[in-house]
Amino acid sequence: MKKILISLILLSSTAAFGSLEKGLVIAKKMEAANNGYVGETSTMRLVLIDSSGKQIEREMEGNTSELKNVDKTIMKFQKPADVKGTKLLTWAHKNKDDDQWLYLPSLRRVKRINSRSRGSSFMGSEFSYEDLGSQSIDKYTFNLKGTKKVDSMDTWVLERVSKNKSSYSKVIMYVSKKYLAAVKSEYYNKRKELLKVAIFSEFKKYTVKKKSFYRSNKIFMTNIQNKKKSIFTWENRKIGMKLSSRKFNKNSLK
Amino acid sequence: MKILSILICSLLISNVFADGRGEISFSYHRYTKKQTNQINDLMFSSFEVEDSGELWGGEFKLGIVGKANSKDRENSYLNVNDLYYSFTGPFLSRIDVGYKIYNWSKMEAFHPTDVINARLLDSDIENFDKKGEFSIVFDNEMEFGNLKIYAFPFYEESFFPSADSRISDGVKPSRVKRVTKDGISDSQTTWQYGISLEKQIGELDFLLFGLKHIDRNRPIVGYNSFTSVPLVGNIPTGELAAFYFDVLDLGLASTYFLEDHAFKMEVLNSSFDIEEGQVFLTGSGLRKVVDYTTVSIGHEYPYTWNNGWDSTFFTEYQTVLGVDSETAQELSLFQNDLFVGHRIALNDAFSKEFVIGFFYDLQRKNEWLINIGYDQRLNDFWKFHVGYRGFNHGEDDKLGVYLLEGDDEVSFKLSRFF
Repeated sequence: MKKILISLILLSSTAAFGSLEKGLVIAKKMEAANNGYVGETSTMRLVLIDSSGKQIEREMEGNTSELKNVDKTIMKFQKPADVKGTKLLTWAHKNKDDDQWLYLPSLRRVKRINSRSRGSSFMGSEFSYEDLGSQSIDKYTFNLKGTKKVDSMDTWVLERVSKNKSSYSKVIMYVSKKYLAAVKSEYYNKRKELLKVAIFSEFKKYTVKKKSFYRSNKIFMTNIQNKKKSIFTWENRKIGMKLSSRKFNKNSLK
Repeated sequence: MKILSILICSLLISNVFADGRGEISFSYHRYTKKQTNQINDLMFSSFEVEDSGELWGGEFKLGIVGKANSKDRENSYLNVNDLYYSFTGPFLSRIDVGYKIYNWSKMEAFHPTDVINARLLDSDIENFDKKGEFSIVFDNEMEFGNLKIYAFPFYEESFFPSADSRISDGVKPSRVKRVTKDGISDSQTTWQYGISLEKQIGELDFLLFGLKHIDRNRPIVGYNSFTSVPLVGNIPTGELAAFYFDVLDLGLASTYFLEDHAFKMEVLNSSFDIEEGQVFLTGSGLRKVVDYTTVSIGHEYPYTWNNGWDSTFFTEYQTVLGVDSETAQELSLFQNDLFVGHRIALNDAFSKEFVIGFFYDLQRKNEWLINIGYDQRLNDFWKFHVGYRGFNHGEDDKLGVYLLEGDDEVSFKLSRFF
């Protein structure tokens, strides 16, 4: 009986180790598929929908530069008028906590955002500062939980858990085998309750130096608990852009 | 007429600067206690426009603010806060030339390191609005940090509100004088210099600076000539003036993140360059200029509620070191003060936000200041703010919030953004 029990424990831990290893292999494939895009420019729209259905639309100009071990992004709000001029600079590091700075024109101050408390809302949306930061695979463990069809698309189901402090206990990602990118993500809060669901759609193919990239151009985020929704969409997206490093400097926010 | 001009001006500017941003506001303030010889309510319109962009290979920024006060016409102004051009040089260097506002403070309530700019002294006493200062700045991003060297060829004077205003309490200096070791001067043309280093090491970021400048944040309003009459006291013989002093300010502004908590510290050491023994006659007696250090510490804690609301809790403390307790009370409104504050953003479609801040003097009996505010957007262009400010001057003297005793106010502001 004892031998059977030990065998069962060994078998289950081997299986768990195997699923973690497979999860990491898939995550590495996702990262490799995303590397080499050089830089990106786009116009982003963020629609905030409250529980009564009332909407606010925000428009941003986004620029991203891919550098060694860090992706730098600056988002500048263009609309509506009451938030125009607000800027968010993110340095998404591959191997350490992200750096984020927010410039609010009404206060004329650049505020550094604490990387340990990035669960707060980004400009009133259902996206948090953490959602906009680095998704580097070195910061997470990935556990392959199986495969599933999502909207007739074959996906791997990965359970992603942050190695560092996070506002989520886990994120269940449904990774498209075709796009090597998540098509759906479920975010669980610290009490392990389902908090938010993101649906990634409108994938488009881009080519940089003969390498193909698939990018989702729409993310529909639903907060299950407060019933609010946010939609991120990208327009005029250009990939492979070489951008000046000065754009991504903290001093350029002011 | 001034209000109309500012309105037209703002609307024209909004069309010219298609990529810029701006705000035009209508404000009403009502003091809860009536005073017979002072203004009991304020009604003004103000505007702010900003534009920035690329020009001739560099970058420019323009920012103008204006205010037209219908009840207190002297309290109207038009001011250039930003008007500068940035040249990009080799090795990540940059030179900025023009009018600029500098915000070095990292704290919510106490800002001892915000020392450069002159002030618009008709705004909130705990943090007066700034005026742009003409400067030439060399900025170089180096391995050991961001180094900046500043030069200011002349200085701006602060804006003093009318004598009838509650903040002036019947006293408005008729002129501004600069006090140096060599005497008293009226000239605004004098060079000021500075250097700063900004650096981030892990969870710590800090700014160190040294600034040799004309201090316009802490003027002495009074008389430099007076005669002492036995049994009567000191009788002023000259005109009431605001005296500015040459000062060497050495400072530090820093933030350290520990898990969810942010700890902040600011230090300002001020060494005044003045002839020894010089005294000034002020409303609260004779004042000497002395060297001292201001230290502020703060803690900030953010919290996200289950329903998506975001709260930030603030606790700050400021003290004045290097002088005795009586002198400290003369030098600073916040010489031994605690601040507790809470901001809560509901993150809804109307961006509703509540703020409460309470300053409490730990040394001066029953002296406090409270700020309560509520902000809400009406749509993509309009927003309103309602607020209450209350003061209590507990001591029987003319220090601390004496000037604002009985000036509790309720306010309403409607803003239109473009």
